[in-house]
Parts: sequence; C-alpha cells; structure tokens
Amino acid sequence: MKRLKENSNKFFIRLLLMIVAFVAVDQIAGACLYYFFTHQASGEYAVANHVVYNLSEDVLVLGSSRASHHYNSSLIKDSLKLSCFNGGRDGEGLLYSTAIFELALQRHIPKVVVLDVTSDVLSEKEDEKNRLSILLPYLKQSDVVGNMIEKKGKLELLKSHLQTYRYNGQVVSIFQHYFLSSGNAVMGFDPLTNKMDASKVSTHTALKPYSDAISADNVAAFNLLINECKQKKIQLFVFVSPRYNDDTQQNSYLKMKSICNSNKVIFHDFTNDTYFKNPEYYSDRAHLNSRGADLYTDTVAAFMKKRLNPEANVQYLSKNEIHGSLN
Amino acid sequence: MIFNSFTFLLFFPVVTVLYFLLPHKFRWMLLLAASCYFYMFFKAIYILILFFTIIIDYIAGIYLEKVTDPKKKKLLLILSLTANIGVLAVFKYFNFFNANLSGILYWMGYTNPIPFLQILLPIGLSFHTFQAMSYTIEVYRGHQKAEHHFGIYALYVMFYPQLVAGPIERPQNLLHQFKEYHQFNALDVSEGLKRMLIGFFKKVVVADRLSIYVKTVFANYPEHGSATIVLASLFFAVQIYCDFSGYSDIAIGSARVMGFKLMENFKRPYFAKSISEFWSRWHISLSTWFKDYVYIPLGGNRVSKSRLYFNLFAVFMISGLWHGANWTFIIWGALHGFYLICGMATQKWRAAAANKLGLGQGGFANFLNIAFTIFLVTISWIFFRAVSLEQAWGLLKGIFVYKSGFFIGEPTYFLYDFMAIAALFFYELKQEYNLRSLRFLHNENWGVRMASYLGLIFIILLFGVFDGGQFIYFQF
Repeated sequence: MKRLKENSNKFFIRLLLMIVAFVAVDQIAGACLYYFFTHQASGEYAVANHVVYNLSEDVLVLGSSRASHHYNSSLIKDSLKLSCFNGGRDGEGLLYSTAIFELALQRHIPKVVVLDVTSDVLSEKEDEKNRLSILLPYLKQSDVVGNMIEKKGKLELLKSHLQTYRYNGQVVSIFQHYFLSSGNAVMGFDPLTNKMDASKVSTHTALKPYSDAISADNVAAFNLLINECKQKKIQLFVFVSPRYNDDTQQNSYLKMKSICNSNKVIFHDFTNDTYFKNPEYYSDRAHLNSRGADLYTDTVAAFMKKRLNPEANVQYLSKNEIHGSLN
Repeated sequence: MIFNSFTFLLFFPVVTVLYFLLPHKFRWMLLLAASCYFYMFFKAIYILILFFTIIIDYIAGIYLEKVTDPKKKKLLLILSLTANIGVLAVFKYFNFFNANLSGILYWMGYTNPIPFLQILLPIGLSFHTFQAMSYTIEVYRGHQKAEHHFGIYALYVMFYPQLVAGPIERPQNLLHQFKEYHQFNALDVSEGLKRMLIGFFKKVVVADRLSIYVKTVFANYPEHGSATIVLASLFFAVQIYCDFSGYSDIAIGSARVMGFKLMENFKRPYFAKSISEFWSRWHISLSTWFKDYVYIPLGGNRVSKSRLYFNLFAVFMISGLWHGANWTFIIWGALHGFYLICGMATQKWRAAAANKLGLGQGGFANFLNIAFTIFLVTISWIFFRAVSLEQAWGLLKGIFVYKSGFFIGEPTYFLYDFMAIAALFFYELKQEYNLRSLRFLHNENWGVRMASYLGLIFIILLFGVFDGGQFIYFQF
C-alpha cells in the first residue's frame, strides 16, 4: 500500500513536471515559429504577411487562386497610376478574404479593393470553414480572426491557445520559404506559365439547377467587407474573372448580384466575355495563364479606370450609374 | 463523440478523474452514463436501438441460464440472435437487399413495390451487435454465467472505449472487470496514456494525412496515371491500418488508464508472411469471433477438403457483408476467402518450389512472402475503398493498363506522407523484432522517456490533421 502511494506520488510529480515542460516548450517553439513565419521570403504566407503587416499599396486585390493568377499588379499600377498588391490565395473563399482584409485595415486603408469571386462564392462549402485554420498565426492581430475561426467549431479557439497548434501542417513550408526562398510572386501576382491542352477541355456550359445552399456565414462576411469599404470610403469592385468553360449559375451568384446591387457596389462578370474564350489564354479551364492574365488585367484596369473616383476615396455610384457601367 | 476530437480530450480526463474519486459501487453508473453520453453525441435517438437489444439480450441471458430443456434453450438463443440480427438487417441491410431486388425486378420488367427506408445506420451497430451476440452464445454454451445486474450488463455492451469500433470483447474477458475494484495504478495510467498517444499518432499524423492524397486520387482516378493509383492504393493500405489500429490503441489505452484490460486487436499485420497469418494479426477480435461462432460451428478444419474450402469462403463472404452493405465489401471478403483457399491448395507446391529455388526459410524468402501478402491485401483494399464496383474495376484497370503521369499534389503534404510512413515503419519494425536498444517511450531513463512523450505530442500537434473526421470503421 505504501509502495503504491509512493508510486502514485512519483507519477503525479512527473506528470506535473511534464505539463510544465510541455507549456514551456510550446511557448518557446511557438515564438520561434512565429519569427520564421513572419519572415518567410516567399510562398503564400509571404503574400498574406505583406497584406497583414506591410500593406501600403492603393489597390488591394482579394480572392482565391483566380485572383492571385489573374490580376497583374504592375499592369494595374501602370494603368491606374495607383500602386497595387495582389492578396489572392489558392483555394480560399470569402471568409478568408474578409479576414485578411480586416487585418490589413488595422495598419493601412487602401483606396480601392478588387474582390474576385466565383459564382459559388456564397454557397455552403464543406471544407471552407476547415481551411480557416490557416488564419491561426494571425489570431492575436484582430478579433475578426477569432470570430472567423470560431465558425470552424466552438472549441477551435480553445485549441489555438497552444502556440504550436497555430502552425499545424506548416512547419516544412515555413522553413522552406525562410531558408530556400523560391522567388516570390511580383507584388502578390502569381502568373501561371503553362498553356492548357484545349483538346481535353470542353467549353460546354453545364447549367446546374438552382439547388446550392447559401452560407449565412459567407453572406455575413460579404456584407462585412462591403460595409467596411463603405465606412472607410474604399471603392470596391467585385469581378468574376474569365474561365474557359462557363461557370455554373447558382443561387449564390444571384444572391451576390443582389447584395452588390443593393449596396451600389460595382459588379461585373467576365465569364461570358467572348474575347477570353481563346484556349491560348488559359492554364486550365478555370485559370488564365500569364498571357491571358495580362490581357485580362488590361481589360479590367480600363474598366476600373473609367469608373474610378479621381480621389479614389470614392462616393458609391448610383444604381443607374452601375447599370450604365455594365452596358 | 470521436476520439480524435477536442471534446474527447476534455471528456476523457473528467470521466477518469471522477472514476477514481467515486466509491466502487457507483463507478458502473458513471461509466454507463459516460458511455451513453459518448454514444449520444452522434445521434441521440439511436441509443434507444441499443437499449432495445440490451433489454432483450439481458432477459435472454437470464432465461438461458435458468432453462434446462435444450429445445427451449435453443429457441431462446434463436430469439435473441434474431432480435440482434433483425436490428442489423433493418438498419444496415434492408436498403441494400431492396436495391438488389429492384435491379432484378427491373431486369424482369417489373417495378419493385417495396419502398426504401429513409434511415441512417446507427454508428458502430455491427460491433455492438456482435458483442451482444457473443454474450448470449457464451451463456447458451455454459461458458459464461448470465449477468443479473442490468447496469453492469448494459455497461458490458456499451463501454465507451470500445463501443463504436471494438475490440469486440467476449463476456469472459470484460464482464467481470466491471465488478472488480480498480485502484489508481500509476503503471496502468502511464501505459494507457502512452498507448493512447500512439493511437493518436497513427490516426491524425498517418491515417488522416495519407487520406488527403488517397481521397484526391480515388475521386478522380480516370485522370491519374498507373503509378499514382498504385501509390494511392498503397497509401490506403497504410491509412486503413492506422485508422483502425489507431482507434484500437486509443480504446485499449483509455480503458487501461482506468484499469480495464481489453484484448489486442492488431499485431503488425503488414509483417504477415501469408494471408492466413495476416488474419491472425488484423482485427483479431472479429477474426476470432467468426472463428468461434461461425467457422467452428460449420465444422472447422475437421471436414472434407471441399467442405473446408466452402466454410472458409462462406465465412469471408459473411465477413465482407458484415463490413458493409455493398457488393464491394462482399467481393473484398470473397477475395480474402479465395486467397486463403489458394494458399492452402498450393502450400505443398510452393514449399517444393521454394526449396528448388534455394529460397528456403531465410530472410529473403520472408521478404518475398511479406511483399506478396501486402500486394494481395492492397488489391483487396481497392474494393474496400471503392464506392462502387465500377470504381473498383476502373482503379484496377488504371493499375494494370499502364498510363503515364505521376501526381504529387501539394509537395509539402507529399513529404509529410513519406515522413509519417517512415516513422510508422520504424515503430512497427522495432515492435516486430523487439529491438530493445531503440526504446523511446519505454526507455529506462526517465529523461529520455519524457523527451519522447513531448516529442510525440509536438509531432501530433504540428503534423497531425485535425479536420480528418471520423474513423473509417465507425460506419460498420
């Protein structure tokens, strides 16, 4: 009995020591990882870090891979005479764009925001919330990040108290981009160089029924982004950039158009623009290659130039002006 | 509730601490309440289905012990088994058989008038049913006394660590443990926690990490080259092993912390040198269940060769059907039956051939046998993983009809996959060959042990996939 008690005491002392060691290692490793994370020279996080910590440009492009591969920042700069940074990120949706925008606003207010969307941007997507873990390293920067991460699950914020957990799945990538910089994208723009094999892709338009469920979280994020732009007098453009085979028209698309209309936000859909139906311009059916991206950026910059407030601290256009701009 | 959820990481210590704080007479109540809570996390109403069979089996057990007339005894057993299999038939197999009936009737030019059931399969129902059936069969055989304490019996079939995915325990091993007083034992707690840690590593670092690649390739297999499909199939073989044995490790470990000893379910199956050895190492609690309650009653080995082959094939077909109501699972089972029969039929010939080639029983022969067993098992896993026969054939065609191209996906994730497999291989190799000099979690030096625990925890935190979701075997 006495021995059992001694063993138990020994066990609890060692358990306590282990917990203390765990907390200490977690804090130290977390701090080290934060340093390497914020000093990455290339990669997707280097782009996001620029938006969060160093943004000073006039125009900020937000969106998914289609944003990061389609908007050539230097061409926008040349055309609009406004500096531009492309903060698009592969695979990310509106929740990410809104969070990263909120983070950027803490340091700098851009004059113009270009939000590239897909027609299903407001649809409920299974993994969109799961992907929000990539915002964990920015948790202490803004409450908005915490609110977004909470959408993943009630206990997610509790987990994020573990410093190392915030860098889950990123360690190799962080060190790779810190030690072996692979040549960063130009002002966030990440052109695709390959050319699509048109024989393998059809231009067929598959119109799906209007059956997609609208995500209340995505709608809220969209409204938050629009309201921030209104309050801070940032001119917002919402574009659907070209794709080789037509995107499906869904409930989300209609909802998005309606939100843009009711908030007098300039919205334009380039999906059916015949000028971009050339396979030479594409890397795959959903992404323009660098040639296509340059042509598209020229087009979109001209479109914006016509509608840009010279002060770039723009009054929102009237409904008639918007409709006029789309004709 | 799933083991790889944060909720479980809160639930487990609370239940464990309360377990040791409570006097012995109240502990069963705590464990039963905790088990109900654990199960109700999935779909609360389905607990009624479990209680339906629990009540029937509890009463059947008591009467099976009381009744002396063999005919009445048999009738009671049949009633109990029918109730259990009936529940399984309704929830798991009804729509499958109805769909097949519809197909046959359609082929004959008729329409099936029987409607499909709009129900979801209660999680872990097959495990629960088999454990319940083993109780009534053992009481019927006189190997186990009937349990008169309803709460203890309910706990036996609902004990949360093994409730939804086994190991499928026999009453002789588990029931009496609920009546024994388990004092806090530092060794049990420490061994249990280590086992859980290994289970978490297998699940979130290996299985869920590999599943990303597997899911991507299998979902879009016509566009992938042969090498990609081969790699995805091999990854799936590792994924399902780590998913299921990881679950078993957490189950065994979490029970051990409270002083309960559950049976081992896996013994490094990919080191097996034949299919029959594979089945003595894979899902041991199910293999022995089928052996004791189906194979031996059919005559076991003491029958003619043709009958023996029939028995083996039948057992594996049923095993396939137990896994899932889909032809893919039946073919998976049938393939294993076929492998075993071929193995038996060619045993002498293979031994003679090996002798002639001078392979004997050495290391190289073992290596070849292990590699060939992995090859056969991996082929069968394709049927297990495929959602339809069409997909399974497509994947096999993708492997055997050469197509160029190799898919890597996200390069860092691809690297993680190989890092995870290398770590697993090292661990399993160490276990298989008992390499005592390479001990980490069981090192005699406490400092090395602590560093190993911390290292493993941080590997899980940094490299684990925490959105991987449920265990594959939960669906059964």
